[in-house]
Amino acid sequence: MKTTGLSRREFLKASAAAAAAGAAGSFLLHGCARPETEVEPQRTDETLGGNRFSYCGICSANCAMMGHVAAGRLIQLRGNPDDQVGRGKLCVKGYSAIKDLYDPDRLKYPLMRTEPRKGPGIDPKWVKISWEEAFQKTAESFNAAIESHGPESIAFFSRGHDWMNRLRDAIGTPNHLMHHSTCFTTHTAVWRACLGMGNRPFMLDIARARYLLSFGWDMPSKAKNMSAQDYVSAISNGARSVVVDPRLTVTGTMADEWIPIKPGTDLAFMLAMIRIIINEELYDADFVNSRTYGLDRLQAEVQNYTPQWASEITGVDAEVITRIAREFGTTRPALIPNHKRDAGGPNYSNSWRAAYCMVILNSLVGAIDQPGGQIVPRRPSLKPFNAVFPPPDFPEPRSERIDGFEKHPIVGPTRRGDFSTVTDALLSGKPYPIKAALFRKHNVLAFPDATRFVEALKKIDFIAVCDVWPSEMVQMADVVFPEPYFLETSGFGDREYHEFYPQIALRQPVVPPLYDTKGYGGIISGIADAMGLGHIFEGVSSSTLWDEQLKAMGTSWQQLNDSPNGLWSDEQPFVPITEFDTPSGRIELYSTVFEQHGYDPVPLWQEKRESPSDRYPFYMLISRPAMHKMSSTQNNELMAQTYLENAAIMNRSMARQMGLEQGQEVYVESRAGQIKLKVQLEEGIRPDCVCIEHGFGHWSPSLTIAHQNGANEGDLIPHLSIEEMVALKDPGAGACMTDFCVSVRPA
Amino acid sequence: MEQAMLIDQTRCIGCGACTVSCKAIYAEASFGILRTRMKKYETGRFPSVSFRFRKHMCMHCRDNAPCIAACPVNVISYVAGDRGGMVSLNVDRCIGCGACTSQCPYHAPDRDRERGKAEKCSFCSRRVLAGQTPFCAEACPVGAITFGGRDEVLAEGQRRAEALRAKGRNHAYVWGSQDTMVLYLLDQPPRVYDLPAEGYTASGPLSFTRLATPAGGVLAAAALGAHGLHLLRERRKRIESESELQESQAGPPGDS
Repeated sequence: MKTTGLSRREFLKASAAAAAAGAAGSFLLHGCARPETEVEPQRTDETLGGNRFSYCGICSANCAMMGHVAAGRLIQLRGNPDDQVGRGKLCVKGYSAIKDLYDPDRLKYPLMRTEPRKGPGIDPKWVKISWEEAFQKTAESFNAAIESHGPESIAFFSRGHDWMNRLRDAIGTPNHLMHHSTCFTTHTAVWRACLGMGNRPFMLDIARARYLLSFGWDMPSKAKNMSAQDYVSAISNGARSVVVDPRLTVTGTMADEWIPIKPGTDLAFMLAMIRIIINEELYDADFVNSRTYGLDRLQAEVQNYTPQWASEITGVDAEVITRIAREFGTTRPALIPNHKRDAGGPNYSNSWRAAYCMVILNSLVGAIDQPGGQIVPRRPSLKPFNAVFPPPDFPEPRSERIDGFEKHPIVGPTRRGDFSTVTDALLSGKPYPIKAALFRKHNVLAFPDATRFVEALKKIDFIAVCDVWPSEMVQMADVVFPEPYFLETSGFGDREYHEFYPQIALRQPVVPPLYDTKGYGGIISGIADAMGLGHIFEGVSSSTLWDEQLKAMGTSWQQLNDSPNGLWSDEQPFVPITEFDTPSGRIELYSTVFEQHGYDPVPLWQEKRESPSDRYPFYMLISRPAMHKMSSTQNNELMAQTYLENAAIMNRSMARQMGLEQGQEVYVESRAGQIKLKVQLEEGIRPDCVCIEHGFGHWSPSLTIAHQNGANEGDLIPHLSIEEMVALKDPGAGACMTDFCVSVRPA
Repeated sequence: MEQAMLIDQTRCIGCGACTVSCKAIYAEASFGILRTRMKKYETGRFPSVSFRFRKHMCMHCRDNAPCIAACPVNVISYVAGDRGGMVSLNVDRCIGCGACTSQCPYHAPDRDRERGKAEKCSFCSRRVLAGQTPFCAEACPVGAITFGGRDEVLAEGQRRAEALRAKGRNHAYVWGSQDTMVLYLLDQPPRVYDLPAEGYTASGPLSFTRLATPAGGVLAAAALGAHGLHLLRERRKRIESESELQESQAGPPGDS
């Protein structure tokens, strides 16, 4: 933003105020200018060519895109029409990626902190350093930690990555953490137990469903490009849509019916549906008899779950529950579409049971791996990194993790870690201290009890952070490694969230790197070299890896680069799966895997942990706006112009009873903490709920647009101790992201 | 050929893909000054509540655009239908006085005080004159924006409205079918979307006929024969029931 005399942020505020003022002056200078019709300068020119292929790196849908480049500058991003996911379109976030690339706040070179104190309001006093210095400093700190406290005193907070995984294994630490238990492990644990394959339950053939019953998933606005397209297409083609959600979402307002259920009680609704569909024999008998296991045992366990019983818990009329069950059971294809933080996501202590009910209900109506149903993605089989570059022998890491994640037998082996319990471990230094850590992109705002997590970070002697933007995590760093934005990088990606046949999209650098950045693999190699572990990456290169992987599939890196549409496709007719990777070889409606590991083998009713009290009278809901990706896009100039700050969304009548007016500042408080933000009044939310959208409340002053807009609801989410987490007996170790209540008062 | 843009608000998910893809291209305006933006309109009371989005933008009035008359320096002009049909602003010569903003019944032009300019949708005139579609229409991920020859676009809107009515969404209609280049497919009364009722023209075979008076209505109906008469009655009934609906469903004022 180029303005004289004003900071970018002040300018932003001034221009927003000006836009709001908006009144017209009328100095009538009747000029003699002739109106002209073709005054528009030319904006893009497709005839120039200059289209570069990539796929979006903002969310994991990986929509294939084309970048229109003129005079070395990216002008426009468009969807690739031959992509299964985006079908020629991008979502609002994808179109906005252009301004992430050109965000002047981006990290431009490696940095080192010179101010030892850390935290909000403290200037890290950055100095620019060379890559060699950054690697050296990190390696020294890592080696010193290993020397004094053992390899387990190093922690990695990062999504899994071939290079990082190898460095982790070479060091020999068990402490690798990702955000998944705050996001979807309740779903994946159930999917693994009941089907044993496909990794995630999130590929859906919504477009072909005739009856869509969503429990808390806002398909078009909170989710991905293809879900939005498919939902609109399904309802435009006459599919019936019913939405069960405490808040009226876009999905709900476009649906035939909205059922504002009491938060955290979806499980009871679904259990009553299961009972009706089984007892009245409304299920797809062919599918259930040939593909599933355990119907009788499930039936016996759900007999107490009558519609009247569910009505008392959910606040929904028994007749409505019965009617929905019958409609769902008799319309084909019917589908409960699910995605991450819906009613089966890690919101409540009983959410994994709701996720289990979703699999059962979809199985009962024959919607698993069938057209119009929940699909196991047909992913290409990629030769693993370790098969291309066999690793040397590594030491067995200590089995005990700081976050206790190994205590969950279903999800433990994925090593995804627990963001909810890690804070305690860091603060207490028990079972052992973490002395050095490497973070990649996981921002502090994403952690439950975020302010306490910041305190916990202060206990770590040395923190290295890899990121594109100067996030809050960067503010806590000792050394910062700047990464390129995805539009400056190469690679390829499959269509994992919407892959009816294997398809790979090419990622070319749309423009050359703007700054002195290095890819994550390169950063990891640099650290390994400086630590004296250079041998683990001997002969390893991305180009060799990609070429070997692509050749094993019948193409090559060169061929993919020469492809006229930037895609490689292996189109095959859709053949439903008949054998599943479970002990019975079928979809288990009575899970022998859960039984074997000591979990309830059927989703019995269980109350969530917390209910409204005098002190905290409101249920807490967390949502995400369509135009932002979690906490990573608030500094994007385009996205910020459509959604600048979050608010405490409350029912209008309830708020007015409390004397609150639209836009007034309030404190929202939970037993974990309190935040201050504006109140937004809506009719479409239960009077007993407060909803806050995630991703705001950035405190890094280097994010000049995002800084101090709204508040982080993560400050309200109570953390869990390892003992509490284990006692929940949740196979997905879900972080109970909304299993708490709040109070609201004027600020 | 005269062009038109149909915005199907029954498909629109309010995501803002149109807003950002427009602003990414037309980037000169200040932060927060947008050629098109999404607004949300809520109606009803909990739990009988719904909301709708509307894509706000210059409606490209077909004639007598108030902004043209209001502009003191004559930099807003009408581009005739044979050249696409649109209301065009010469930004270079705009003095940013705000007269167009204040006179526009849709409050469409944004006043960019920082730059001293008005900012409004150009219908991507360059592209349209070159036979392409506006950026927003190309970008919309759910196909809610249709751009093309006016007759076909209007017919498509009416076909969709009819299909929606057949499915029981009795209030589906095409708004603006006579007066503006921008047409909306809506399924709530215009007031819900903060739109003037005068542009509220029912779709179907009658929609080219302005039925301002009962006499006019009868004449038009006579010309259209028995089928037309039936449709006219249906339309009247619909409009009557809608004015009741406006009273009963009128949401609380102001917060959207």
